[in-house]
Amino acid sequence: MARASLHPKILVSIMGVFFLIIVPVIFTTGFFLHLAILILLWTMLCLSLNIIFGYGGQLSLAHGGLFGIGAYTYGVLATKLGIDFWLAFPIAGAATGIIGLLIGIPSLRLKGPYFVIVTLGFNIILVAIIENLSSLTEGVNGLAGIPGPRGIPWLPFAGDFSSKMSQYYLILFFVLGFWLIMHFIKNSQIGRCLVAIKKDEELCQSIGINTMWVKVQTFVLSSILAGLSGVLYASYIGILTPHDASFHMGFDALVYLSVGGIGTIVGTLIGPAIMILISESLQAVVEIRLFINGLALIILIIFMPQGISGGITYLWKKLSQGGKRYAA
Amino acid sequence: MLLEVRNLVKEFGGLRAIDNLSFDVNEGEILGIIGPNGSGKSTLFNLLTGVLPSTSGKILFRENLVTGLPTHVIAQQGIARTFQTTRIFVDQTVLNNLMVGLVPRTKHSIWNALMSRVKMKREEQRLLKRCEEVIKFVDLEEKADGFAGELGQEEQKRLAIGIAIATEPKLLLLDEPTGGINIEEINHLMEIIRKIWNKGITVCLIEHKMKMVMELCDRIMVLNYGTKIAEGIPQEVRHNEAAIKAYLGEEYAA
Amino acid sequence: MNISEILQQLLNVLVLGSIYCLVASGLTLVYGIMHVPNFAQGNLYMAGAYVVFFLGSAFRINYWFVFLATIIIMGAVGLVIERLCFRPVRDAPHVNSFVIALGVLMAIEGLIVILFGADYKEVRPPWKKILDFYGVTIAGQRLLVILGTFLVMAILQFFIKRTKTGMGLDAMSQNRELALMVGVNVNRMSLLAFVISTGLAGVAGALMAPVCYVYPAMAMTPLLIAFAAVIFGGMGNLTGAVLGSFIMAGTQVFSIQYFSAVISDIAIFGIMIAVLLFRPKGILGGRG
Repeated sequence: MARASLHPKILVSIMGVFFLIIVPVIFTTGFFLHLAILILLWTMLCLSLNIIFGYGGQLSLAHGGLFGIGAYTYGVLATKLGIDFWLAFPIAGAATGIIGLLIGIPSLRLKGPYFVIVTLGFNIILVAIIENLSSLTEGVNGLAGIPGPRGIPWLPFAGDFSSKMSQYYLILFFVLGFWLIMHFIKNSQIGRCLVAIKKDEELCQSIGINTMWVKVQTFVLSSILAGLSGVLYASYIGILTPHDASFHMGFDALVYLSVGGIGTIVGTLIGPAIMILISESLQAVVEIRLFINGLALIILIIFMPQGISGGITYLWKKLSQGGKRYAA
Repeated sequence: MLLEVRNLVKEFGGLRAIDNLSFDVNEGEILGIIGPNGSGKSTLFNLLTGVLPSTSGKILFRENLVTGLPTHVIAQQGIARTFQTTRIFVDQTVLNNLMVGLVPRTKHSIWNALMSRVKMKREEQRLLKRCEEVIKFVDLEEKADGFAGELGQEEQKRLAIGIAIATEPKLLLLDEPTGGINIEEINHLMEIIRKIWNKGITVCLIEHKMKMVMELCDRIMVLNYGTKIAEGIPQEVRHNEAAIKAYLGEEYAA
Repeated sequence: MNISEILQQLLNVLVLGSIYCLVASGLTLVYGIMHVPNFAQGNLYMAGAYVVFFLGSAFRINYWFVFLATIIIMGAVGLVIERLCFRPVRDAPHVNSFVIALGVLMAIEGLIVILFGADYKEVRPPWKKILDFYGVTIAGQRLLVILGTFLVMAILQFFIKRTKTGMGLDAMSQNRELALMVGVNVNRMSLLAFVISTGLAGVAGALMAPVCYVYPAMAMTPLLIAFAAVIFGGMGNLTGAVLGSFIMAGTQVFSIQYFSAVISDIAIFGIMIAVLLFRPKGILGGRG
């Protein structure tokens, strides 16, 4: 009997990545490609939330604001100071990371609901800051004319980013990179720490683990990723308003992540993909979307807290167990 | 002198849980701490490990002042403990439980997770070896890949002890390690505690089972209402009037 | 600043404080009994205002009947939400109830926007009189807010301190384990606490509707200020919630008067963080 040489998870992952790569070839319409790009951008935001919530167990409601800070930092650097995308990208990431550090240090001392409330408060403050620094951010009027990434002529396949397809690949490149980062963390010492801290933080401390340091690092990384996804969003859409930093973004990311599966890597893609495709096909107006998202969140957490990817894993286990019984 | 406690006081509102307590723990001994319920034994452990802040007093570990230090720093200095309610990671395998115990000995930052992956893989192998040693030490070899939640009560207690000694401590604080287990299992645990002592780890043991305390411990300290009412070798304490009164009084009430 | 200005500001503090007091009391009660931070409380307040708007404009009835109907409706809404949304996750990991609360928040806001749209609605006050003494003008409705809140809080206090069920509730919010041992019925108490809290939010919304505009975003600021008040006073501590509410209202009015709305947000938020870092059980101490 032939032995399976590849673990099914690896096989599925390779197939999935391959599919993502050929998406622009299949869906050549501008509209579908636009949808695909949006899905990937939400994947990034969900991914950043997943690191602190899925891995770290701390529900942050500040990530909408962090996303917005990254987006606005790039927007301001690009439009007001004429700084190039490739330089502004890491700067905006670092800036968001620093803000994440400032938010994380006081907040992570707090347990459970207090952390949630405080991060919500911080998000509100971030939006207020964005609205009030109107000389830089144009306040409530919104920042427009944000340029996309400049091509790198001497790098193959990266010569020019003016087409939608090239922008898709740029964003996909970063999504894959971030997934790799998540994978590395999950299977590392600090990943082990995070799982343990989630279950029993006091026990971890009595073992000698500096749980605060672990949590702060995690929060800062998650902030940087949220900021970077904001940069890519700004460079793609070209226009920003303070609403792009609101806590509603964080809420939506939470919904999408819950649909996909909190704590999973594949959930960060499945969630946004399903929710965005559903709302597009239902021609859902913005108002209905809020209601549906809320309802979806409630139903999911009650009946399927592991999300869709959890459901699939469960089914897979059931099926493979059934097979084993016959294999004897 | 491994551990020196001087004039330790812990007040909760108006209540003094620990009242001007001073004692020493000598390196290489097994010190038993006994006393009626509510005499402050677990509170003492919480104070020693920094889980609770003391109201006043000094705690010196290996000549260093550790009062007021955060729990994880004290643990890194070499004090490990178990809890009265067996605390382990129930949805992890036994092996993983012990691996967590070894984390503080490694570089466990995000930077390392991303940048030094090859080194980390090698480190992981080294840790696995160490884990296997500890698993053997606490006699959990067959259950290495089983889930901690599926272990029996006594096995879980052994696992908790395993996690504590995986951190390679100088001082091990055991809080009622034999709560709710039968005689055979008690003997097994006593063997393991003796093995730990043989390795040069000093042990402080809170216990209610007199026979075990008398057999295992080099010295015994008796607490009541947060103060020390007797201290000495088992024979001395056994005949100590104050100690007997404290316990008889309890038996009367029971 | 002359006397009349000071009095005017004081009045503002009383009005705002009253509203926050109602919202915060519900918040702290639910947290004390159910250990759930009900993030949807702000939206329940907003929903109360919309119910008043709807009943008032659709059925030309007297404001007072509408007011009573709103309380009953909001109580019923609380019953449904507790049963369908929070009861199922009672034994799940704690964080699930947070997410449920957020889901309820979103669903309520979404529903309101679908039914009424996002524009500003107006509710006509029942008592159009504007009083004027010592140079201080006060709209009749604002006085009603203060008096109405006082009345409702007095009834609540009576219920908690004098009736058997109320005392059970009080006991449970202070020491859950002990209350359980004595035989207090968790299901009933949770339901009761939640229904009371949505009722209080409904009262707040109903009282405030004629005073300010009714619009979806009116939910967030009272929610955060109520949380700040509850944290200040100690989660689960009713007196603390009341005290915290007026202190926060005072901070808000003072900050807006001398600085700006942004500074007011930062000041309130700053107090909340300071309390959380230095006296996490709240100034008066609660369940922590």
